[in-house]
Amino acid sequence: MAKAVDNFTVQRRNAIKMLGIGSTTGLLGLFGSKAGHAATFDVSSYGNGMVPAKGVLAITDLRCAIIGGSPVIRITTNEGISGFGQAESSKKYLKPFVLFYKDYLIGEDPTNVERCMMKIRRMGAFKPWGAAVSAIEMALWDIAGKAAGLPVYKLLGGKIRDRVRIYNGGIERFNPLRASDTGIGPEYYAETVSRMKDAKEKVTIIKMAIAFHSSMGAKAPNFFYGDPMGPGNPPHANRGPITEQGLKRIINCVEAMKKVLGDEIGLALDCGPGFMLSDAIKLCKALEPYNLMWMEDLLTGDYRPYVMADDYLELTRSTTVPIHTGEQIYLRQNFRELIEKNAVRVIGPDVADVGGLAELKWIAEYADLHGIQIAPHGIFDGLIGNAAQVHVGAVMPQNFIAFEYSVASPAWWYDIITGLPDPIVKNGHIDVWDSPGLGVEFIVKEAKKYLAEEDKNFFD
Amino acid sequence: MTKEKNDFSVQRRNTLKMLGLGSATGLLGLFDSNAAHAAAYDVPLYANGMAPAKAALKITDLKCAIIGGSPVVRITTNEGISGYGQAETAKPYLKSFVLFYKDYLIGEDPTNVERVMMKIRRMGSFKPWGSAVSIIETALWDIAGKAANLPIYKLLGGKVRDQVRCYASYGKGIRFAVEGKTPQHYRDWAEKVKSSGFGWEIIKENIGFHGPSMKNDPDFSYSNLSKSPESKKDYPYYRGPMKITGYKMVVDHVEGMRTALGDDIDLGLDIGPGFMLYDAMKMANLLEPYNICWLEDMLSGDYTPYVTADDYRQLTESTTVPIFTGEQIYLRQNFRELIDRHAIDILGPDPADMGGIAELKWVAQHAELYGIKIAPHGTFNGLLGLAAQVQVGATMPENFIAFEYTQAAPFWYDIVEGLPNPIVKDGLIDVWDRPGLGVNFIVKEAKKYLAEDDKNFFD
Repeated sequence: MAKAVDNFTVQRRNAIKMLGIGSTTGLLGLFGSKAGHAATFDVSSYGNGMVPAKGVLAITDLRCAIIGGSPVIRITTNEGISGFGQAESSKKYLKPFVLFYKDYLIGEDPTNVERCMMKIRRMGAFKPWGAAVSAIEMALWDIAGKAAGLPVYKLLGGKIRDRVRIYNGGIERFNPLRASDTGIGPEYYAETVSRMKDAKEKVTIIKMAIAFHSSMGAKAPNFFYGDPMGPGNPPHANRGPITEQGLKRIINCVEAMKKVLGDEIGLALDCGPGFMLSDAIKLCKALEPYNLMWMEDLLTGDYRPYVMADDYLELTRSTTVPIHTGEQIYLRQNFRELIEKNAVRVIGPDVADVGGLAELKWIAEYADLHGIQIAPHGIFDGLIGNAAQVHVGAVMPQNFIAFEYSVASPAWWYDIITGLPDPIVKNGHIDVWDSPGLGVEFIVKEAKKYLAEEDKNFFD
Repeated sequence: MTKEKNDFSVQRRNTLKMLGLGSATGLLGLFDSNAAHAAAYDVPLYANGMAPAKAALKITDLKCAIIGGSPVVRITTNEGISGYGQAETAKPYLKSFVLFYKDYLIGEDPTNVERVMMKIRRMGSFKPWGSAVSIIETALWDIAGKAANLPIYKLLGGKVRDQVRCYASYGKGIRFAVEGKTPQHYRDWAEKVKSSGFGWEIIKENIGFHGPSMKNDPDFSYSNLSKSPESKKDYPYYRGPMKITGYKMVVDHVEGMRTALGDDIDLGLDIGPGFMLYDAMKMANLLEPYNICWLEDMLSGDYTPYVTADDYRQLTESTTVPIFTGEQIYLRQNFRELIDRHAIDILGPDPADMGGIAELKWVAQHAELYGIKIAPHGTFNGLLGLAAQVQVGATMPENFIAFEYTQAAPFWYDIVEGLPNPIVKDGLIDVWDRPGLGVNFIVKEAKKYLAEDDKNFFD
């Protein structure tokens, strides 16, 4: 570890030297930008890693602000270093749930991340009740990295890749060309993947929502043997036995997409939850010819506070299509059955729901030990969430496929955060950066404009 | 169902008739008291069953007040009927968590309990994140019962017992500290338990990792977690490999208690979580001679958001002492492995955490199918929680042992009406027949205990 620190310090010293020569590309660009805006950033010189922490750091406050609909966490310390974390933008209600953990954390040394986490980890649960704990962990690593002058990935064992693969995630979501109402037929699917194939990010894997995860359950005629659940339900409420017409609709849409994508770009499907076990088996068998990357959450998943590993085991054993689940699952203990029984081929924990970065890395290694792949969920994790995904994505074993890329909305998010590469995604990957902590910071002056009245002291 | 309802109406009519004759004991006493205080109660005539609901009921509001530290939920309707539920007093932070579900509920018909629950059930989770959903369910049943003029147990399939057994756990005058380590101390302790007036048949004691003095004793385990000196709040729980002196400590305590209690009173032990698997097996093995009625939460339990069914199965197979868990577990899906694999001998779900009373009954029946017993947790559930336990306890199958009795702060007994007096006789509670939960706030009295920001709770 000491050696790693030294290497990094040397590297950083060189970077600073080169800054003097006027270079402003890549890593250097980040530092250059930092120097330019130093006064407005929420980074003490301390936090930039210029002076590693000497005294004992202690947490002084835990705050939560809803910025542009997205819950952001800030942990402050006695030494001026702050750590930030972010939860899914779909969880606008999260503030009181974050503050629930405050008393456990005040006075703790945030650089002993595991000690802080042992106090609060057991007080979380399945999605969305693990989000606050997870975002707090993110913020603790941010502080620990800043205090040590190291990028978070160095505190997670060091990176094994220099760029992290992403899959489409939010890329199409805010495309103005996208129909406001998602379609339910082959034309819609062909058109959408075609646009994504041509998008500037050059993604190598595209995941599409289909069946119960799309609007088919509610809108497609005679899709399943059940009446669509009315409005006012939590997302993905429909579940029931599927009709032959429903089955054929899915297959036709997959065929249309494969015609566009060929074998150049991997296709994954987010399917449920909502399938009965036998229908899931039938659908997977029918889709075997299409070489899918994975089929996600057929039985459980989004906002189902349970795992059902035995059912997944039966599904997985019945087909060659890789079966995927895990975004709602909290902590390694709840992955145990899925992994030890090889009940799925791919797991998709979300760094902002599973318990944090270190938890995600541990589970990735545990999955690797059992020959299971990992493709972390994260479509709504925001820009700080993306940064967390890059750090943990850089350290995960070779069973890592790609993480689900988050596109921030509203677009002004990109004006209030600094530290991300520009462009963020190149050839379907994000280059791993080396600035301390998570390496992304608020441009406080800009970010303050978007604080609600009750959050106005968030950055103070 | 119609016939049952008629039976019930006849019964109630007779009751009312007898009231006219001035009888004021038992059930009749309740009605009498009700009549006398009618103006002050939060029970419209409607809710007392005078005029069963005809039009469709609709939920108009979901409110939560923290009364004496205990979260109470109130669901109001367009017809003046309200339903109430109560969560553990250990969760004074629950208000915002309850209100999280409000938008899903407004406009729904509360008497279609399952339809409402299907909207919110999957938005809850392991303790404490299932409690808001659970007490909303209880409040829905309270409304459904009042609207139908039936006690809740009739809507859960009907009662199979007239008295529900409860066991002693936390509470003043219920469970007593052992004040020393000599045999005399244990005899004194047992005498207090026996003479407490409740007539307990089962008592549960905190010990081991669940015992506040024992878990911190350096001779107990090799656990040596330390918090930062700057931090005021400690780890919620400890866990770690046992010391030989720790095993001995537990065995000595149990031997003392068991000897002092004799065969009159069964002894359950809440002992974890905290044991490593092997240590749990060894601990259970050492306790085999003492006829313990269960060992609770050795591996997981309080605030551990997972089940670890395979570990429990190994533990259960390794010993003759009944192994018990479940208070933190939410929904039937998370009980599935424990039950299907016979990983456990006794389940202890809490109706205020596991998804509600109908969910508890379903899980009890699943357990029954496998010969697994059930003893629901509920030590902090308050008086409305107690009423919920009685309603569902009356309907559970023959695998039902007893539920964990809850004792409220003294003022609570002045602000609700409808409970028997005394509540517990010979360790049992008589099942009452009033509509809904059958326990209601005396609004005038209860209002005195509302915080400023809850002051419109009963309006």
